[in-house]
Amino acid sequence: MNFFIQPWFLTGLTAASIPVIIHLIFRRRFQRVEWGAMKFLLAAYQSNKTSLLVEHILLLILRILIIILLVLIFARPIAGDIALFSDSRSTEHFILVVDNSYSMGVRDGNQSPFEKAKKQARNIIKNAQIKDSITIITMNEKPRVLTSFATILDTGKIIGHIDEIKLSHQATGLFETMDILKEQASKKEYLNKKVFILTDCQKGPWLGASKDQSFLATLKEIRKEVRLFSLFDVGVTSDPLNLAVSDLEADGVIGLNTLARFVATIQNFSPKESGEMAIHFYVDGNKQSTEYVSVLGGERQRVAFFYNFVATGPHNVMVEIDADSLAQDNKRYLSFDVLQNIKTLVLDGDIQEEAFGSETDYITAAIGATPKSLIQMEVMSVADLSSDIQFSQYNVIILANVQTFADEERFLELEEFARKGGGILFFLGEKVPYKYYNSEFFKEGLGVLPAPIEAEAIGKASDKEDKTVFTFDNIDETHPVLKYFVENKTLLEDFRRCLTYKFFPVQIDALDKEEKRVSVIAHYDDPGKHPAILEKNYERGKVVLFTSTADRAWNNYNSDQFGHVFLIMVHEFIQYLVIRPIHESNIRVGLPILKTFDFYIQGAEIAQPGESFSPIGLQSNNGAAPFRLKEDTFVSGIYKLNLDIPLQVREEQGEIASEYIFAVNVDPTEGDITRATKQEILNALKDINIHYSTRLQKNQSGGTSTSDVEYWKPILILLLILNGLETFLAMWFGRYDR
Amino acid sequence: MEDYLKYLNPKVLNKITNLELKARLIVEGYISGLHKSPYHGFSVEFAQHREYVPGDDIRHIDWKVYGKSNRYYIKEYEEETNLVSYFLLDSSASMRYSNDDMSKYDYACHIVASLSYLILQQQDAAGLCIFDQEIRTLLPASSNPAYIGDIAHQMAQVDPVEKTSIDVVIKDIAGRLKKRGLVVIVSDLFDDVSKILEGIRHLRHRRHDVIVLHILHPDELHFPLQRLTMFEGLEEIDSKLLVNPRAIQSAYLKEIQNFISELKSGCIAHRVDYVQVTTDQNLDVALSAYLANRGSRARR
Repeated sequence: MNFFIQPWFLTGLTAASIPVIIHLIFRRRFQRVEWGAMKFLLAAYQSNKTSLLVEHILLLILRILIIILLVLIFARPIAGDIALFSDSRSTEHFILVVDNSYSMGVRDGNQSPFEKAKKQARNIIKNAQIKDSITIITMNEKPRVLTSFATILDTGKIIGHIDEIKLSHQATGLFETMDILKEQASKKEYLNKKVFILTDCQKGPWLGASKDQSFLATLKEIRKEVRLFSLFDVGVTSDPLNLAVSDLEADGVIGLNTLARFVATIQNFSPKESGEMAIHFYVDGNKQSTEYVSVLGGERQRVAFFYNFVATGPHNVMVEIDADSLAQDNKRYLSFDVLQNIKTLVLDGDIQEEAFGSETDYITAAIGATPKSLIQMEVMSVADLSSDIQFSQYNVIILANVQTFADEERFLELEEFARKGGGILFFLGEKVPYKYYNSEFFKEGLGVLPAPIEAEAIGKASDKEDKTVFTFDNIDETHPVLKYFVENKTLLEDFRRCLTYKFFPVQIDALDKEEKRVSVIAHYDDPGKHPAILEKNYERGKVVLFTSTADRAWNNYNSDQFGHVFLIMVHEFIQYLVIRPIHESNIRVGLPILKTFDFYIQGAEIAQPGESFSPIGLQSNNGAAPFRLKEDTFVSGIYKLNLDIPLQVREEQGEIASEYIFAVNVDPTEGDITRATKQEILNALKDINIHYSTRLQKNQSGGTSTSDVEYWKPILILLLILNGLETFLAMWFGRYDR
Repeated sequence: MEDYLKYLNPKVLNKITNLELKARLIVEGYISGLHKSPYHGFSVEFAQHREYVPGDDIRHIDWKVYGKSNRYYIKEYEEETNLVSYFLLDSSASMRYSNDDMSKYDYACHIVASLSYLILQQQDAAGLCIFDQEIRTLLPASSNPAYIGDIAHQMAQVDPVEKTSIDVVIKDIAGRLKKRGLVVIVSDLFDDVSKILEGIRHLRHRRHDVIVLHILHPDELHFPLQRLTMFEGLEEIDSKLLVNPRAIQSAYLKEIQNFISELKSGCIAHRVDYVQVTTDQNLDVALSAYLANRGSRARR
């Protein structure tokens, strides 16, 4: 190992003897002159003898130095920090962290940052001594240690590990990688550790992470353990065009034979306008349509696609942009189920004879179901709930002002219904005994009710003269159930203006709040800022609690003025309750596909994107349900799962799906390839004492690369200075003609 | 008409071997170039009267005085016919220096020959002393025009090989010169300035007029050498110096300028004409110097 990229040029140092040789040769080649005025010549020589000698030696040294520097430039010395020191140094352990997040694949010329990083890693390995060791870690959301302190007995083998690193479909994963790096760096048995992080220094991940104290603490701990902590920026220096499909979403529940709307968000990460780009829409792998958009630099644009599904079950759509400089973020997938309808059971706790006298009349009016409607409902008094009606026959159950179930088993059935993915919507009212609700529906947090009711209802009913009015406040506009309102400012304003006269005060349980099992969709503007609409994730199901009534008794949502607000709320809430949690079938690359089946499964097979089905192992309780599936994802695309369910189980379980589709997508933010500047990185990591450098691969021929950590520039400047100095001094000393 | 002026150029003269001929060409060339003949005024400057003694040339009797005093008086003129010029020609080894051109010694010989020719043509007397560290040749002064042949012959016989010791030679020659005259020192004077001036002072003490024709080669004045050079002393046989001339040029020039300056000041102090002549100069410089001095003597 040595300091130089081209050490063989150092043999040229022998040329440093050239000035001495020239001097000696020229001392033999002189003219003889018989001189008359010798007296004066000798006097002049004697008086200048010392200075002549000094001048002579000075010029000789300068000329030797010039040749040495010239040779050094050709040998191309590398900066001390990565020069890896001379052959006489002690053993060193190099930890190479190679960023293989998908942003490293951006094409800006012939070589991508990923290829540059691998090339630099190979250089470091080639320059290592046989007594050194190499650790290779890939940097992404699922970092891997490819070799750990492997001695360099076979350089080719170590380089082979570098060659095998593939560009992942994952994001940078700084936190995950630094944890792994810390683990490796803290191995006390290895001294003299040097860390080289070869990355594109994306602004988002690096500056984002640097604001996190735990991340900085991790880096500090790594820094303590290693002698050199070096960050190589191999990112692109230009601003190549990069568009990404940053989001793809369906408009609510997708029903059979209804026109479904999909909206893709196209983000332009580059600072320049994209020009007209083709956006292709695929359904179940088949291209359906193409739209053309032009997105301004740094902006995003939403593009809608429509499709009418004629078959129920799992489907997928994909939106793809034409090729740009970064391919991995050009596609986005969405997996969903097409439902024939949403079976809804509406349980009324206060049935009345007169029109719109019952608690649920406004709900049924809002749903307004026809045989072709997506939402198919069945309304009954809770008292009429016969034993042949099972909750599991429905997708959604609405409880409106229900006091209790006649059969206590229904409480457990309701919990089981929610646990398996059913949706429950609570409306409260005069009939609700709050303490009973707490004990039977909330159950100290174990029940389906999102939160315990604190006290009797606050306020006075709408028919009272001295009623107090409350409006919605502190609305969570990011909640998907309010999306319809949020996308239309007028509707959102109407939603805010609806009046509530009376409601049950509820308070979210501290533990639920901490574990984020319960979230508040909207509050009231009362002094206590009590929650108005709450949501609870109850295992696979969702429960929404509305703390006022479903009729006009405690509010005016059903008034002529705000009837449309109630209409939208009912539809949106029902659809929201049946939509499978998006994370179940739509996941990010790197996260595992997790699935639990409560019935017996003979076997399962899975097909990764572009590959055929292959069997997959399932975890079970000694061959009995539940069966758990875990499949790691490494690439984006559509994963298909087929279950082998015995006929007998099918008959027992009723309608159970045997085919599942999972859409695995890249993290779109990774597509923002904007680099953090050197100053930004150094400022962000100022307490870490990290060595930052950029690599500019100029030689694409596979030869040695140039770098700004090389010393050729200062040497060249020094050479020029010495050359000028030599000329000046030679003239001054009278060695050259003037 | 032959263009004599060209014979003042050392390059031309170098091609002519006969020194006598060259002396004639030089002088006649020089004279032909003057607007006024240098002969005018010579020998006609009245000095004094003395009584006629038998044997005097009756052509010099001043008949006007005879008319007034009835005595014969001889009209005496300035010693123009009795001027004795002694040439002290340095033949030390350092005079041998040349750079593929005329050596200082040869150049000095031309000067001596030319001036001698001029002097003899004027019926003045010229003598020659060739010296190095001692007197090598001494020709007593003679006004015989044919004497130029002897002078030229003697100069040609000498091979400059020895060291210089001017003060010793001057003191020696001063003792031998019985008649007051003009002493022309033709030398590179590569000796101690103090010793040289001591010799000159000695000559002046004997009331001799002195002209110093300081002969130098242009190389010695400008030191234009470029290549690494082994300098070998012409007079100092064992003295050798290998040096880059460019490196030492300024120091050398300073030394030689100091020497010249010191010498010149000394000459002026002793009322001695100092004329620096380089071997690339036309010979009229030396002739002019002589004639200027001759003229000033005539006016005294």
